[in-house]
Amino acid sequence: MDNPVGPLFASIPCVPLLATSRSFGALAAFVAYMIGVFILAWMAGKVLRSRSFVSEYFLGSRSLGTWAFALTFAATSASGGTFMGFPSKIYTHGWILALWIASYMVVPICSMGLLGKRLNQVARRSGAITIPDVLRDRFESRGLGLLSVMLIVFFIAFNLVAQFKSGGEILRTLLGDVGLFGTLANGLWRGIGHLVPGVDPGYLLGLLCFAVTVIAYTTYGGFHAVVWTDVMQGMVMAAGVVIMLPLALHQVGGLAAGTRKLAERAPPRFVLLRVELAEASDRSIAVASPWVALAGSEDRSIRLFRISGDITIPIGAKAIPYVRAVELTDPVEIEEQVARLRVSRDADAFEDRLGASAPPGIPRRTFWLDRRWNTTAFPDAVIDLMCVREFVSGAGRRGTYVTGPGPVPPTLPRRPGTIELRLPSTGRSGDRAVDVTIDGPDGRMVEWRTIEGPIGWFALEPGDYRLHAAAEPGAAFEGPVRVVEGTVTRIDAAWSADGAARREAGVSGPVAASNPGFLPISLAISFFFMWAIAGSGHPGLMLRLMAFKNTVTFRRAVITVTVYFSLIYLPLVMIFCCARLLMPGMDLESDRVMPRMAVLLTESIGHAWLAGLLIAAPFAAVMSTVDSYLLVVSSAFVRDIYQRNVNPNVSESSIRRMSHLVTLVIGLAALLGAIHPPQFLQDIIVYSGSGLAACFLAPIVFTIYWPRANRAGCMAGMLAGFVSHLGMYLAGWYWNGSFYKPYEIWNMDPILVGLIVSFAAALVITPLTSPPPAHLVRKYFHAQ
Amino acid sequence: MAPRSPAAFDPFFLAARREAWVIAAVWCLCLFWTIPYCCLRAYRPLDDPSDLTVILGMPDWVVWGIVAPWIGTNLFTIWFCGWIMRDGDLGIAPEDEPHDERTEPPTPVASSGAREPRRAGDG
Repeated sequence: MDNPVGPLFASIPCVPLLATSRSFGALAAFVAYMIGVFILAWMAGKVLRSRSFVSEYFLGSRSLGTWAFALTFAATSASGGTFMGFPSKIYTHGWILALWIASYMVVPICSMGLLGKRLNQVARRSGAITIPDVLRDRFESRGLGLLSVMLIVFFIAFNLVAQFKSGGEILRTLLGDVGLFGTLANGLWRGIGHLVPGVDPGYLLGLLCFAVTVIAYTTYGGFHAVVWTDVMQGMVMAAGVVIMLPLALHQVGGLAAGTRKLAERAPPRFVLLRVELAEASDRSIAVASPWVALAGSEDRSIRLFRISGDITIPIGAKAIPYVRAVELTDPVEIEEQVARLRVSRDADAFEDRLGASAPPGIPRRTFWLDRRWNTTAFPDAVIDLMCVREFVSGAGRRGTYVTGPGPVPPTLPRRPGTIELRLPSTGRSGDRAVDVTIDGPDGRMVEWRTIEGPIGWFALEPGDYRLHAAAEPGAAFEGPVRVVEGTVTRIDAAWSADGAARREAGVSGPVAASNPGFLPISLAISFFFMWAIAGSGHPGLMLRLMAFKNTVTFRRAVITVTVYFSLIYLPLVMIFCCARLLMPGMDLESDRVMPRMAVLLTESIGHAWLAGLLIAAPFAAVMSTVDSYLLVVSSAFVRDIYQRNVNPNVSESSIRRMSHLVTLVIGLAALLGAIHPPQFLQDIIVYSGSGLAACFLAPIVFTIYWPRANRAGCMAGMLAGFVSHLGMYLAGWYWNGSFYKPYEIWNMDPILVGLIVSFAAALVITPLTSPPPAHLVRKYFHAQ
Repeated sequence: MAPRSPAAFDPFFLAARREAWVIAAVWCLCLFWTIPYCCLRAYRPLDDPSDLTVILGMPDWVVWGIVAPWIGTNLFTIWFCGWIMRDGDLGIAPEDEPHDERTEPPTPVASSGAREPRRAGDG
């Protein structure tokens, strides 16, 4: 088997070229959107003052019309994941994402139609304002109500922090290139940076802007503010997709051409680079996402890398280790990207710098490229490869982006340490090519690379390894090495003859762990349950089902949401399959694909300001989710705990003050939590989202459709769903070594186990316990 | 105690439950079409990328396994919600009742089982 990486380019001079984009038009469009949000909140506040406070503040007086109900439902179910995470997944895995979200074809009719009419009727008959209200009144059980409140607060509190974090990160991503944003962020940092050390100034400003906006309009306007802003946000989201689709298809020459090009693509590889300057920098320098090209030595081909994120070179630094980058592997893809770079202003210089006119072999040079690559700040810098990782599924395979199960990218070391391997000469001429293999603690090969030159750099996770180096022919070195995070372990190799046996023994490359790919069939089945069925069990969405004004509104809203989701989800798959063709190499920062694509497409038609509207879509999606969660948690404290259990005779003015205060406090608490968010936050989102469905879907279904359902059965279903779902995660902790790698029976998501156990427990316990009181059955199941 | 005879139940509740069963059946149909079809057609390795069959700009398995049933369920949803799903009076929440009537029993609602005539201004 050939070495998949090829010889290492060592000590290569590089030419950095920097670029920044500043679009005040985009910022103005974004600010206009934010002003619209505040105007709607102010109008909602006026409505609030004219109606019964609790019902209006938490449920909009059950008066939502078709458009308001449809779009608030759609916007709430579309979180930041829809416009940031989902495009990122499409970009990374390709057309298989169409199967991943295939059940959205039935999501509207399932998540609305299964429960909507009856839940609304039961809530009206009991006067319920919240989901715990429904359960408590339906069974006249304070315990069931409090249990559901605790579960809702437990799950949604984590989710709220995660969504705040998403909001802050989105704003930083969207506006990070705008000069005014950077100036404000730096000013904020100078003012309060000492209070929150270690936090990125851009993230801090983004988080504050997001939090102040959402907390303000939710606290002030309540449910109607949330709904009306959801309507606007829903329209912004749809407009974003509808505008982007034709522009993206035009850029790739049509959908058919784009799909065929994508079929020709093979996945890239991930690398860690080490940049060494000729002399220590006397100033702090930021390099923004450049391309790096290495000119080939034996032909005119080049190796093309895209640096992930920004590189900051601090004052006094000489070497920058662990620069994350993606290397394109497909020759056609490299050629197309080089052609795009040639379009920029200095094509002749581009050719010269690549050495196209130089004799083959000399010089091999490195170039920092960008769309305005005209700066040469580090002419004598050199670059080394420290770590190279192929895709764990789909590596080198064309067609993987248009078939299942989809490619899976590798992971680069998260806490790398460095081995600096110094190789002596073997005494023969031309002996610089040395094969180096490194075995992990379990004996499996973790690295194999051919290096040229006297020094090789290897970035690995901390731990104990065994290193082998074999020069051609004969000379070899073998020895143990310990890697420590953030430090350089230097190894001075000494050649001996016996190590050569290793290569002859047939070692042929890193042993790839078997990987089923991104979406094995079992997981596709899980997601068919997850989106359509489990989505029905989310209290935030159930609350909206209690708010429409009549059944005609309901029927029309289901149709509206059906059309709306069709306009959003499949077109998103098409747009971001095109994004892989138009913006290759973004695999390490695929969360930024959406805003970058918006900028690329709008610039292509000469209307950069339109990017402000397009990039408002993901921001709107997060806002519309956060405001709903804020109200769910706030109502849990004010309505379910205080009014229903502590002081039933509380006056309306007190409730009003308390609702505003609690919403504000919860929002601020989430803001504080998001400044230093806990680790594994995205995993917590997945856990809490599926956990809510496991706890609530079965109890609510039986509550509204089964007259024989009783308190014990529903409580059993709720607890069984919670425990079984949690149990899968705990089993994963035991078997897989991490709470966030849940145990999966036949590769099925834990949500399936949670739902099955929850339904089964309720079905078994209910007949074994006493039937519900006759007056409750009459109240909720007989004509009134 | 729950009544034994379904006739004693609110027709609105019975209709909603029937509709829920229909919706669950549609979900099952989609599952049993999309997953097996994509399993058979989408998971074959593509030895030569030029062998890919493209329909309407998409891989064929996307068109027949996902887009076609998607269009089908959209049409079903429009038909089902537009013409089949029953209307009915959802009732009046306690907070919307006049204060002097709050202690009175709820007003009986006509639920004959047939769809109520649509009122002008609904929705």
